[in-house]
Amino acid sequence: MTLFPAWFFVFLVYASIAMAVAGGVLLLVLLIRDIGGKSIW
Amino acid sequence: MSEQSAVLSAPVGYFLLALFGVIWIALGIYWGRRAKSLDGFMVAGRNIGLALGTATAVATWITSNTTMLAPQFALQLGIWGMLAYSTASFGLFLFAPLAKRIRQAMPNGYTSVEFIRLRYGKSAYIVFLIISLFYGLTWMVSMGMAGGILLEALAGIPYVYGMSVILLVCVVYTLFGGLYAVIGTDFIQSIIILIGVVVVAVAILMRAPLTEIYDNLRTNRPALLDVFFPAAIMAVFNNLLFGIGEIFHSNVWWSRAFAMREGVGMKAYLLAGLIWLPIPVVAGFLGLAAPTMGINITRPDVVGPLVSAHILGYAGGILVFIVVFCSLASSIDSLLAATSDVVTTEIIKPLFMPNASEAMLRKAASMVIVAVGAITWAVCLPKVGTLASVLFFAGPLVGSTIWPIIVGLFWKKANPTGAVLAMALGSAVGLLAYVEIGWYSATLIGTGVSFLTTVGSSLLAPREFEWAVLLGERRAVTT
Repeated sequence: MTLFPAWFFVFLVYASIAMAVAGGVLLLVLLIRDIGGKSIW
Repeated sequence: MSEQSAVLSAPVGYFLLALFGVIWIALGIYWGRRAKSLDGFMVAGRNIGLALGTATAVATWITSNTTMLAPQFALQLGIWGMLAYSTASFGLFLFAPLAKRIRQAMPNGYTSVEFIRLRYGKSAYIVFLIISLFYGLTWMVSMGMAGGILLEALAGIPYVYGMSVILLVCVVYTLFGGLYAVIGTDFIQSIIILIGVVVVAVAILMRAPLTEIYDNLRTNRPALLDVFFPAAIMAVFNNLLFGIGEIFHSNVWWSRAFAMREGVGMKAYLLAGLIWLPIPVVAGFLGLAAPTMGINITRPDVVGPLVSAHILGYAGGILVFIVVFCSLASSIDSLLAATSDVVTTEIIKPLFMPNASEAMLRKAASMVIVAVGAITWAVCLPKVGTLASVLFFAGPLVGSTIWPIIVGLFWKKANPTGAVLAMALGSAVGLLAYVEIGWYSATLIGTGVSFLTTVGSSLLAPREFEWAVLLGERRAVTT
């Protein structure tokens, strides 16, 4: 049985958490930018 | 209800239901002031910016399945299970160029069914409408049932109460605010969901290092780390195509493409795909951590809440309850609005109100939302467990619409008869594969048959199409 290496598992989880955090921050930044431009909708 | 699965007391569950119910309804009423016109109600004024456009795609695609089923997928299919679930984000990525094209080709459009009717004619319209309504209603019923079951499992709230309250709250705020309310609440819900899953994942990492979790899996459940886990690898292809089919055909996603202002759609769907991509891994990781934390899982479907409550105590239970509530609401409200748009403009208007004004259609859309909510509630009421599994039958049906939509949007010579046959044959052969071979092959085969039929017929018997037809009846009236 060929297993995923430990480094891949560690990278996958940490990278995913980092992406989720970045996604939330990005949404807030975009909202602030849109509010600044007075055009959220 | 299993004592192990309840992570909150019922009074706390009721309080949270009431609190968030009041918040969503109040916001729906507040934003509903903008939704007086038909365009405001159905497509939020067609001027949605990048922030709300991105967030609404993220929140809608994070269903209760994403937060609850991803840990179960990981627990049963390992690393491939998480990766398989993540491939559903490809639907968002691939829809991005379509969103741009849809907005350009149909600046006054309302629904995906309208596109099929204008592009391919009445026969294709009927087949597509059946697929679209079947999928929309079964997805909504599965979400309503999931709501009742999850709230019962998390807080001991009786199934009927939890299911009814979630549906009622979504109906009320969508009724008042239309797509404005749906998209506005989606932004808040997406932020809450992202915070919730990240907090729980970080809390786990602080208790159990990843290397410890990996070593435990390698020793006790090595199959979950297997690079060549056959069932899991097959799940990748099924999830991928199911996700693409769901997004490409459903008016949930088309209505957002119409609602976003010019130049926003493509960026919004690409960013949404990037933000959504890691969620099944972050949520799914809870399932892989469970054995290391010594949690005995008797119900794999609630492994996420169990791990959260184990790590964060009562606060973890509250957090999961809120995340699940947001995941459910963000999908149910979208389905209510999108289904109402289709029924109002593509069934009620042509059949019963051909000369209706926009104000009359606006009223009709409100009544349809109530009716769709009531029908969903009635179907959910008996809690027939097998109903939720009906959604899996939708895989080949929605898969069969992928190519008629792509070809119809970008290729002038697409053959309308070929498109009808592609959807009918793709659905039929896909369902046959579901029964004869297995669920994992159904969407793949249905999509393949649809591809061959759509492209083959258009190459063998090309038909010219005037793109201006997609501008629709409004153009005909005004020019």
